[in-house]
Amino acid sequence: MRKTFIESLVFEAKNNSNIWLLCADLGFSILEPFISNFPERFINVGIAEQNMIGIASGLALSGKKVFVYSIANFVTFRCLEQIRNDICYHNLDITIIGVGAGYSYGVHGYTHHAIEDVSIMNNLPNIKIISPSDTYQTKLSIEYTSKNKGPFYIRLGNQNQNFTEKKYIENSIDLPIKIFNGTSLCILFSGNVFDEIKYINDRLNDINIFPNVYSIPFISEIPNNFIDKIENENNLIITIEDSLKNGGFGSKILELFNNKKVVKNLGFDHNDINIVMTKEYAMNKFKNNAFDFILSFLSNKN
Amino acid sequence: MDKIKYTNISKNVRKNLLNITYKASSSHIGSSMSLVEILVYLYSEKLNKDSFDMNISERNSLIISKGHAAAVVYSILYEFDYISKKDLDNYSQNGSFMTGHVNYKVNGVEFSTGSLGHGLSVALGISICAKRENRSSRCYVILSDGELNEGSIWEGIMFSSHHKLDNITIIIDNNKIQSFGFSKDVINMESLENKFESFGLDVFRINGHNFYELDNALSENKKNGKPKIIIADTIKGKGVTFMENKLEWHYRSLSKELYEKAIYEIEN
Repeated sequence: MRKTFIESLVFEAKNNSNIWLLCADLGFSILEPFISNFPERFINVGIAEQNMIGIASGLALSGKKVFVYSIANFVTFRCLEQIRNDICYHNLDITIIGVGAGYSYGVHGYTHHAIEDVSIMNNLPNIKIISPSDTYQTKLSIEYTSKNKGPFYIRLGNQNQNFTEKKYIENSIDLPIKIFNGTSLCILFSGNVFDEIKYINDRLNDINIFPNVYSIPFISEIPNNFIDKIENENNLIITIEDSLKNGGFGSKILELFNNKKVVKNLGFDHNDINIVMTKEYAMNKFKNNAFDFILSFLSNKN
Repeated sequence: MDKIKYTNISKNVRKNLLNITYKASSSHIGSSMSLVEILVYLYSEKLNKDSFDMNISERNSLIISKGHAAAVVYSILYEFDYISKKDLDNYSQNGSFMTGHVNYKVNGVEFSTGSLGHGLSVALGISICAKRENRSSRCYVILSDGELNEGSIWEGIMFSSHHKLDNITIIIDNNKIQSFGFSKDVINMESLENKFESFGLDVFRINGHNFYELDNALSENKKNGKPKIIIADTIKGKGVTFMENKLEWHYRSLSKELYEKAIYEIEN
C-alpha cells in the first residue's frame, strides 16, 4: 500500500506543481521517488510531528496542497492539537498519511498500535477519513485527495492485494464498493481486513449462505441512500474494522441506521495492550466471532 | 517612521482595548497592553491590506501566536480600518467572530491561535514556501515569553536555522510574566540571547515600547542565511500604572472605577 501511495502521489505531483510532501523522519525506501523527482517540494522536518503539522499549515495558507507522512499513531496523537486547531479549525488543504494502521506494526508494542485513530479523527471538524483496504483503493484515495480540497486523513496498512479493481464500477472512492453479492445478510468493512472478510465469506458460502459484502473506505461521509438500501434489503448487518470499536467505523454506521435491524460491530478493544499483537492474531477471534454470530442469528430466526 | 503619529495611534489602541475589555468583562488586558507598540509599528510599516489576501503570493504576513492578545489585535484592526466599530464592539459577544483569542474569520487576522506553541511552525511553513519560490515577502510571528516553555517552539527554532530562513522575523513580547508567575520563577529561560544565538539565529534585543528601537531592529533585513529574532522587552499592562508588572492583570477585568482611572491615565 505504501508503494502504491508514493507511485500515485508522484503521478499526481507531476501534473500539479502545488503538491508538497512532508515527513517526520520516516519513509525509508518508500518516499525516495518523490524526493528525487521533486526535491524542492519535499521536507523531512526531523522527528518533530507538531512542527510538521504547523509547517504544513503554513504551506497550505500559501496555496499549497500538502501531504504529511508518518506512522499513524505519531502523525495523529503526538500532534493532535495541531491537527485540531491548525488544520481542522482552518479547514486547510492537507492530507495526513498515517502508515501502520491498526495492528500493522503489532509486534512493536502498544506505542506503535494505531487503533484509536479513527475514533479520534471522527470527532474533529472538517477532516474526512479514508481507510483503504487494498492497493487499488489506496490509488483511488490519492487520486481523490489530489483532486478535492482537504483536510483528509488516509490510514494505510499492509494489505498488498488488489481485490477492488475488478469489482469497481463507481466513479469515486467516496462511495461504498460492493465486493460480494448476496441476500438478507450484510457485512460492511473498512480498513485492513480483507483477508478476514474473505475467510468469513468463504465459510458462509460453503454452507450456502451468501452475504452482501461492501467495502467502505470513505468513513466520514456514507450516503443516506446507501444506508436506506442496506436497511431495506437486510435483516442482519455486521461491521468489521481494524480500529477501536468505540467511536470507530462501526459506531458511525450504528449512528446512521434508523430502524431496528440487528447490527453487530466488530472492532478492537483495550484489553490486551501489553502484549505482542499482530493483525492476524488480533483478527483471529473476529473471524470466528462473526461466523458464530451469523449462524446463531440465523438459527434463532428459523 | 512617524513617532508622534504612532504614539497617538497607540493611545487610541489602548483606549479601544480598555473599552472592549471593560464592556465584555474580559481578561488578558495586561498581555494586550504590552504588545501595543509592536503591533502599531508592524501594521503601519510592514503590513497592508494585501497582507491578508490569500490570493496574493508576494505579501508580507503576520502570525500572532499569543492569541490571547486578541483585544489589542482587534483594537489595532479598527484603527487601521480592517474592521468596523460594530465589529470591535462585538468583542466577546455571543454569535460574533470576535473571539477572545484571535480568529481568522476576522478581517486582518491570518491565523487563529490560542493554544501556545502553534504559530511559529505555521510561520515557518509560510517562510520556507516563500524561500523556495524566491518570493521577496517576509513573515512576522509574535510569540510570548511564556510560550517559549513549549517544546514545539524549539522544534521550530531548530528548523528555522537549519533551513536558513532569513525571511522570517520572530518577535518575542517579553513582558516577563506568564500565567501563574514571573517567567524567571516558573522556568527561567535567560539568557535568551545566548540560547537563540547558539541555535543559529540573528538576535536583537530592544525596548519593545520604543518606536526608534523597533524601527532599527525591523527595518534592515540581511540576506545572511539566519532567521531574525527580536527579543522585545516589554511591560505587562504598559500604560496603566496600577496594571504594570502585575500578574493579576493577566486575569482581572475592570470595575467601573478602575476603568475610568485607566482611561484617565491614558488620556492625560
